Amino acid sequence: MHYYSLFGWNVASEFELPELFDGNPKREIDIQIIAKSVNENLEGAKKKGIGFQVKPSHYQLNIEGVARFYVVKGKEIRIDVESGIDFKEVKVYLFASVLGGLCHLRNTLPIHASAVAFQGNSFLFAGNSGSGKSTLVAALQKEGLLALNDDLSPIMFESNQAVLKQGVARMKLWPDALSWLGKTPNKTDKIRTDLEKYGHEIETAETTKGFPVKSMFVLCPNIYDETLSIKKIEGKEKLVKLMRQTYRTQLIDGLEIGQEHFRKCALLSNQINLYEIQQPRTVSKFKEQIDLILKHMSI
Amino acid sequence: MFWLASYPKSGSTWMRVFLTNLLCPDDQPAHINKLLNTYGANDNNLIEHYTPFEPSELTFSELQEIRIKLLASLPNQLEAQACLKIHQTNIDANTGKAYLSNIKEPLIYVVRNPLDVCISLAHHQKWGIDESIDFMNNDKAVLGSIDRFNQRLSPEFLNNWSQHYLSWKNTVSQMLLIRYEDMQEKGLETFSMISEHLGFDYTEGEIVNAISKSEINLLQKQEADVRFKEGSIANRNFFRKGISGEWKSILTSDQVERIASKHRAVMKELSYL
Repeated sequence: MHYYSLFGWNVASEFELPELFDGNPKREIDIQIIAKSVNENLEGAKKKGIGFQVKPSHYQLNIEGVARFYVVKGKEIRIDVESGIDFKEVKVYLFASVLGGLCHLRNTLPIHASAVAFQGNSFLFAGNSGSGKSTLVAALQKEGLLALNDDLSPIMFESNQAVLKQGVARMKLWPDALSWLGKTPNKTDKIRTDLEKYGHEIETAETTKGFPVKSMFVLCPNIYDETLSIKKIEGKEKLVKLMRQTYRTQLIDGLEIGQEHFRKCALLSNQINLYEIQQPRTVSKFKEQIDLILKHMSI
Repeated sequence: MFWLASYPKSGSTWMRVFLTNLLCPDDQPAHINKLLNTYGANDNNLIEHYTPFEPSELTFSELQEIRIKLLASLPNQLEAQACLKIHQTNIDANTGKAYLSNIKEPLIYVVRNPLDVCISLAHHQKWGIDESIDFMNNDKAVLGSIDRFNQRLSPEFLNNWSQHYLSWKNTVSQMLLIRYEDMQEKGLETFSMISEHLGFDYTEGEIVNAISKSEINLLQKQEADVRFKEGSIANRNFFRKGISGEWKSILTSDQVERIASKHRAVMKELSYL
């Protein structure tokens, strides 16, 4: 058995997962990851979509030709791997949708965002696929900030205080982002054999600490011109925009957690600053964007 | 909801401007950045919103497979007055089968003379005319790249210009074929057919009014003030000229021949030759 830390939870895994931070074998186990046969259909599923099936406390993801994943009550992840498959392929789904489902089941508010910690607080960078969340966190790590998460940031509420913890010890970057950071893409770091996306290490482990959430920056492409701008979102719009940043929203109704999800979003909305950054569609203003964000993190 | 299929730069945006002016009438012409609810088939937001997959971590073929499954189920999940815009070909070149074989909703296919398309496409993509012709003649043409930094839009497999048209014509029985040139030359008749195909019973006056609010010079004026949000990164002017027959003064006879020799049968069928 291998022991890891994931978003502050203690994980025991039958699979070796070097992308996770080391855990403590003496602590109580929160989540088990095991190799176990998974039926094609989730019995009593409340919602079935493309590849996924859900019912309260249960989430299943079937990836044809790769694996079936079954998350039970947020405590166990069963993986039924297809024979002969490169385990790298399995991890692509495990560290994305499967963890996303797990975070919903473990009563967190999973946000589609990367995150850093700065001066004891955490800051999230949300946005759609391709908006540059990972690149931003990698660049901020280079500036000396503590990288917390890439792409998935589950917010936990400790005595109603929103906090973030470190999760997976790796971010995923395109070659141009790596070269911006002065790194050369290394074939062995590819997250998938057939895809030009590379793993990039989170350098510092700070796995036990919860960082109160201070701000969220939503990265939006500026569709009108080449200027970079930032706007603070307030009022009713704030809650609506915040709810939209939830990771894998399509699971919520099938898991029957709609009301709870709304409650958590409202709680978060009352605690944090929400900014929208309009990014130019070219990457030329990236340094300017980092400076703008650093300035607003200090407010 | 309805489907709007076309080869790129064939007039589908103009069609949506007209439909916005028809469906959501206002004193002022509809604004180019507030057109009727449109879902782009290659928009990765759809995959992020409706499936558990991360588009940037999929290969082109996986993305394609998931998108097709999503598009087949999406009409049931969209609002009544929505447009699902698609540029992709509808036949899988490897299997010869339709990607979307069971479309039940109304579908409009807009087609435009390929001799004019190649000029418009060249401007839009900042290509030379010959590059544009190469693309339209390429049986494996894909618009977009899987290796791009910004993955807002997925690449789309188009096939060559003729096969694109045939792929939709041969697989969707209720397809309404609209020629771009007819939208210009026989506006009332053409737009009335569109309105009827979508199940509306607008009067002639309402259709004429919507056409007059959709004129190209109005769109150009709007675009001069504010960028069209669906426009390309490469080129700021999306609404360029909107005329037919521009090829006569731009293309060389060799260029005309390169297009005509590849697409002769379909061009004849559509009265472009």
